[in-house]
Amino acid sequence: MTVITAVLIAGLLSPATRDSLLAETHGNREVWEDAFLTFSGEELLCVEYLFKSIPRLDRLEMTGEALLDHVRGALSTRNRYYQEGTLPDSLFLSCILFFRVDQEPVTGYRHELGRYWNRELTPRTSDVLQTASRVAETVHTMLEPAEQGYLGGIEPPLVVLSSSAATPAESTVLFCASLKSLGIAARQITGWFHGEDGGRRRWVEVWVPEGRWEPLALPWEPVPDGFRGLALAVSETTGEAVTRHYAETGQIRIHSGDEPPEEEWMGTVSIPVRSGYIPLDWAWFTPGTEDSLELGPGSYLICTGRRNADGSVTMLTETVILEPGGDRAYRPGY
Amino acid sequence: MTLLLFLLSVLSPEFCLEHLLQKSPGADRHEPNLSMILENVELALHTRETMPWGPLIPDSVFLRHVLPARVSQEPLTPWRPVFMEHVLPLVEGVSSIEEAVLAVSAWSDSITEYRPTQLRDQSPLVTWSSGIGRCEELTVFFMDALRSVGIPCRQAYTPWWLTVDSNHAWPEVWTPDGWMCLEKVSTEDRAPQENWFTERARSSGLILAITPDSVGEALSYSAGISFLPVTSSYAKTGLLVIECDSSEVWVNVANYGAPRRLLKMDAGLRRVELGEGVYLLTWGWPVRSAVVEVLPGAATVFVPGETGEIPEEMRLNIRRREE
Repeated sequence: MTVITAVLIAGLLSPATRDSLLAETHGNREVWEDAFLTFSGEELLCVEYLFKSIPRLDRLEMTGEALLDHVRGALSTRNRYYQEGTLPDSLFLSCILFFRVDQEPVTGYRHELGRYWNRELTPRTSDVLQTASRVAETVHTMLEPAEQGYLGGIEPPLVVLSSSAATPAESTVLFCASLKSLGIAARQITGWFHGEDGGRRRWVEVWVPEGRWEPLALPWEPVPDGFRGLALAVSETTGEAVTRHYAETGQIRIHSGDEPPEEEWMGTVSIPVRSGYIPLDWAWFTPGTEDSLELGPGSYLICTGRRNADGSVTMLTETVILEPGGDRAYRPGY
Repeated sequence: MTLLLFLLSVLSPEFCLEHLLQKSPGADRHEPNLSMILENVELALHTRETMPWGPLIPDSVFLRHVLPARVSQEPLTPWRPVFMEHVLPLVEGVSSIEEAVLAVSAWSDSITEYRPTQLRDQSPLVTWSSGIGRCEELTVFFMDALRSVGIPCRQAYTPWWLTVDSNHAWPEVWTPDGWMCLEKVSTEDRAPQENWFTERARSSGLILAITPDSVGEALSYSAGISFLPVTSSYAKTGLLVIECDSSEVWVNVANYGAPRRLLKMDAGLRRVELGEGVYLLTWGWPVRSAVVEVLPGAATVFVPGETGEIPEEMRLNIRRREE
């Protein structure tokens, strides 16, 4: 068994952090306290990693069975597609052991999904990209497209698997969860695209043993050819901006100005799409301070807004065209 | 009359199940969700038969506002039997919906408190066990408590407030006299009260109520859900009329430092009642824009044209009082 080393040892859960997080886990702390007593060795390190890394609601929703499924399932598949040293510990933890794909509820899924794909994927291949492509094709074939309604959020992977239809987000959840269950490191990327048909799109990256992320376009959620018009791309797993992997980015440098305003201003960047603007909520800034935004080439609406005492909003706007590799300065004109 | 209404109700479990599934995500037709939906239907019908106010509730109100297994985007959980066990004793001996609502409200307030949580909606059972939730999660919790004893209720929300940077969701309760918003009245004497909510609601731009059915007066209908405009129950409103054949127009307000979409007006929606305020309209490609003001009791007619640069400076949302 591969020993999880540097990352886990460096990130051991301190007693103070553990107690503090347990206090926030009111209503479900027994599940975690039992796990700390029951698991040992590498499994305990994985439990501790999850406990301190996952969002509060995930800690509240976790069950003993789901935790066992994720920890044992992830460790048992760790070397299936990656030879020694080709999958860094940090990626094993964040992109295989960490179970979440999007906004689905916490459930165990690895044992069931692993069994399912071991039956479906014959003959088997050890090639990461070939396997991922076959899983994507199968998911696309088995699920009819469904509209995202108001009621109900994103269903968990096994519910999607048992359904005949799925929203694009649910197909991606099943796809990514399947890859994790097989032992392939995967992460969902969310991108925002300029243009008449622009807006938010998702795709998936898989880690290949050659040591890089490879994008996989999803047949149920096409992206523009060559990621044309990409303004911003973010890995929702890690919060890392990955725009530069897909576009020749430039930067918009925010200048504080000579006299920072006394009022509280808020700065946002939006992209134009048909009929309006979509704010990039990952790319806000605080006027009055020096800041820099790395974005794909295209047209941006920069707004600085101030909430007045009577509740109205004073908003200043400026349209900025960012060239590939460009460097634009923006000075809010308070 | 009560007896007659009760006898006229012919809702069968099979009818209720099919009605509910038509308004629910497709996954609810499959296990494990289907078992929870079936139990939900049986218990909702049982409550209707056994609670004193059951016979007062019209079939359409029961189907839309008591039967549903979900309120919003929370995950499906078997909340109804758990809530029934705890909430039914609270309303034992109570004969009116209004009194029952107050009892459930006091109980709900005693075990939950508002605290910002996360983007994803937590289930009512998690809100219960953790004791905290944001506005939508507390709304889900309270509505499920009411529905567990057969009291009809619906979620109302504003996509964005006009006077503060935020949005909000809250419950409205059905009574034989109409829909009641508890946040506008004192739970002790049911008199109108002034609080943070009433102040914001009075200056709101758009308030919608969720109805799981196709309803004629809805602003929009999607995947089995109607979005009913109820702004005029909370704020002084005027009419915004878009005069054109084809353009899709977005009505935006300023929130968190950016123009944010309040409503999309397409060929199927050319007139809408909005709260008194100043709005940014955007349309077309390349994007064009205009600032319009909606005045109470008046109609603002707007014709989207071929020009309209976004202003370099604008004051949005509400009109400054000194002007």
